[in-house]
Amino acid sequence: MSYIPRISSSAVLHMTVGVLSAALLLGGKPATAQTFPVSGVSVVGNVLDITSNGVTSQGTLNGFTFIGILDPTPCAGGIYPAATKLWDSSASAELSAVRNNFNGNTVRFQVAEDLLYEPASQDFSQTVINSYITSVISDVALARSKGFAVIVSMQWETQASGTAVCDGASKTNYGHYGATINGIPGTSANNAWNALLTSSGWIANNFNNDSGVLLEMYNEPQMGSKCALASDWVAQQTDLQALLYSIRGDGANNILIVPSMSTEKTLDGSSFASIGGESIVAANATLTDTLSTPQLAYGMHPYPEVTTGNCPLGYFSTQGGASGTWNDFEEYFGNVALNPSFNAPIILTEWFTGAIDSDFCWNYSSPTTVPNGYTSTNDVFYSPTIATQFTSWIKTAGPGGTPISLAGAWAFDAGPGYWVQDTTNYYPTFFDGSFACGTQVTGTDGTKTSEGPGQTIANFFNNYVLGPVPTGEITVTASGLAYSRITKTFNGTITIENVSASSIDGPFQVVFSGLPAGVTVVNPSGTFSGSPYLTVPGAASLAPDQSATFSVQFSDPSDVTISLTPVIYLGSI
Amino acid sequence: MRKHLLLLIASLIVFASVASAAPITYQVTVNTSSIAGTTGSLDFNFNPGPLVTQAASIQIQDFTSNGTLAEACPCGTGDVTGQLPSTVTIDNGTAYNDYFDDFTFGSTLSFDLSFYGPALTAPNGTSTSGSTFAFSMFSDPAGTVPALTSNTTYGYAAMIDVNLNGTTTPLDYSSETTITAVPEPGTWSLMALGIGLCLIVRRFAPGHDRCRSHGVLP
Repeated sequence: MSYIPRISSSAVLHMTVGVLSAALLLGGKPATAQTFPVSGVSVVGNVLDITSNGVTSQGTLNGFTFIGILDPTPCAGGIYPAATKLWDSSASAELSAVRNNFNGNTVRFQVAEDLLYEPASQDFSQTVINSYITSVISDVALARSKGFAVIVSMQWETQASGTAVCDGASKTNYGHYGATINGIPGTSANNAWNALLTSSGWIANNFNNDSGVLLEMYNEPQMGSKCALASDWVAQQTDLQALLYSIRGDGANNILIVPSMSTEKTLDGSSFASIGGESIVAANATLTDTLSTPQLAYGMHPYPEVTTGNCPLGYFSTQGGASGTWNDFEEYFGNVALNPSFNAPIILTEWFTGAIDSDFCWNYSSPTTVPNGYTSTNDVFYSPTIATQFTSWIKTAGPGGTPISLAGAWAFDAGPGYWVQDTTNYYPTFFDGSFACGTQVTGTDGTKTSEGPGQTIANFFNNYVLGPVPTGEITVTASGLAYSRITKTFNGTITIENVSASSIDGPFQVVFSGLPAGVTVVNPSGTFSGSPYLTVPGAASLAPDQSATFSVQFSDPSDVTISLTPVIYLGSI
Repeated sequence: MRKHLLLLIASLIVFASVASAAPITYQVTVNTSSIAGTTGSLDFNFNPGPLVTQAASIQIQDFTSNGTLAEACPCGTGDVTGQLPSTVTIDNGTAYNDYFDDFTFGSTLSFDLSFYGPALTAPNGTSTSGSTFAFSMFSDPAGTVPALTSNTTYGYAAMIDVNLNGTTTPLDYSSETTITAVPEPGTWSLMALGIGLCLIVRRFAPGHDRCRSHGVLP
């Protein structure tokens, strides 16, 4: 065997690819699905860039909500006092468990509007308020010191310091005031953010310039019992825009998370009466940022459940039954992915599906027919199928097919049975079918527990696809396709090259979208969103200017032109 | 100083003769003596890639062998014109451009393979796929049993990629096959001129083998 290469540059090129591939095999940085520790986060178009250990790359924020710091006062009721007690005694252990047991990189703290600022007729003394502000700052600092991105969410609802007589005054309207419509932010929200963001402790920690701290402007704006109409979105937009100006005026340069409407269950800007319209996502409530590079993300709280009431909110109540399909997720939450004009990332700041119900069970009688198997309207219908399908759906449900962050699964400290089996070891819950309706088991810490999606979410965080690589960061080139009469396939190579200024962690999945009818990939690693994909072998990460080449084989019995649009995803599919 | 200048010019001329010529031509020679007398087949195909591909063509010329080509043709599929042993031209205009012919092997065969077209002479910098030529030999007329190749999966004896920068990369899968770059006539002239200049300089500067020191002469 011999040949004399006439022009050696091509040979050098191929040798370079080979050497680089070998280097990757020998010494590439291992890929991690969740970027950690998080030193900073920025909005770049419709995705998030996360900086960790000096390297910036596209990523997602995934983690849990904590309610333990929401209301430390005697006014708190329900599950909140227990969560506060747990936080006070075990904050560090709880945060470590988020990382060690779930691979999360984000925590979300709900803070009480009512405890950050009160008017003259306040329910709380200034001493209580000052103490609360200090504790919030301390909690944010603790989570940041452990490497988490932190979302601070302004909570205005009744659980934020309650409705009872407290601190010597009878509370009215949850301490919420100044809004165009009760349920959307008013001057009380402006004042609460101002009290926190301009406090000496917040400024001393430089949190206003810490991009690892994100501010969720207002938790779950809603109309009460009223259905949210397009006009309500306009009202919310007006008040939220005013709140944005106020927060930016307080000096905050952080990412602001803009909430969607009506308990953040939908980003659909139209009336809920036309839920199937898949209309424009939050088009009636997008905001204008004052920063030169807008740092806005949009939040939602999808709780896939049976819901009854005046509004046709319930996915399963309206779309369930024998005709329900999982495509209805898009109808329920809005078809974000297909809206080309929506150019901001989506962050789920709350979500849950589990067995927390009056009888501590999900309808286990027909698990294979989920979601159509439910029979009892008394059972809030949760299931492992919902958890699995939903986490799969959000991988590409963001604008332009981008991944959605699941940053605030509700709530890590809500009690055993939600995400952890107990508060001693923080083992994830799992749907193992060991529970019968009406029973619970006792966790290792003596508390009662029930079935939940903890293990589902732990697996999800460990394997979450980080989403398509933005255009311009990786180039894809291909050789010609030689035909083989032996295999009756067209065979060639594809090369990906990191042309960005930063290292990009893999694994790299090249999705072959747009293949003509009759053309198939012979050696796919699998399919993703209906298209075949190949995992680039041996490429754990690509440094700037590094490339990796792999083989591909196509079957094309009709000899039609083989064409495709390659899309590169990071992580596991 | 003047001698150095002359040496530099001579070296540049020699190197230019190697680097600038187009089209790019290879001579492919195969020792088929081990399967002489076998009635088999030959396959040549030249196809674009799956992404944006710039136009390119090949010509199979000067096909010579003491074996016997079948007379039954047409043998081409796609953008193929001509018939061996005369010149065969294959463009990369469709997904599958292939020349396949029955062949009774002799002890040797050879052909010249020229690559030309915009992808080679004027790469546009925006295309994302190259093109690939593949040559296969089979020991059956149907083209199912590969011969004289280590690439038993696909059966290729030789491949040549047209790269995005207009260069070519040959790949040889057969111990019986030799792929040799063939300088174009203009290249020969340039090279001869350069070597001649070197020799003249060497003649008037005994003891100073500048051409050798510049890596021009072997």
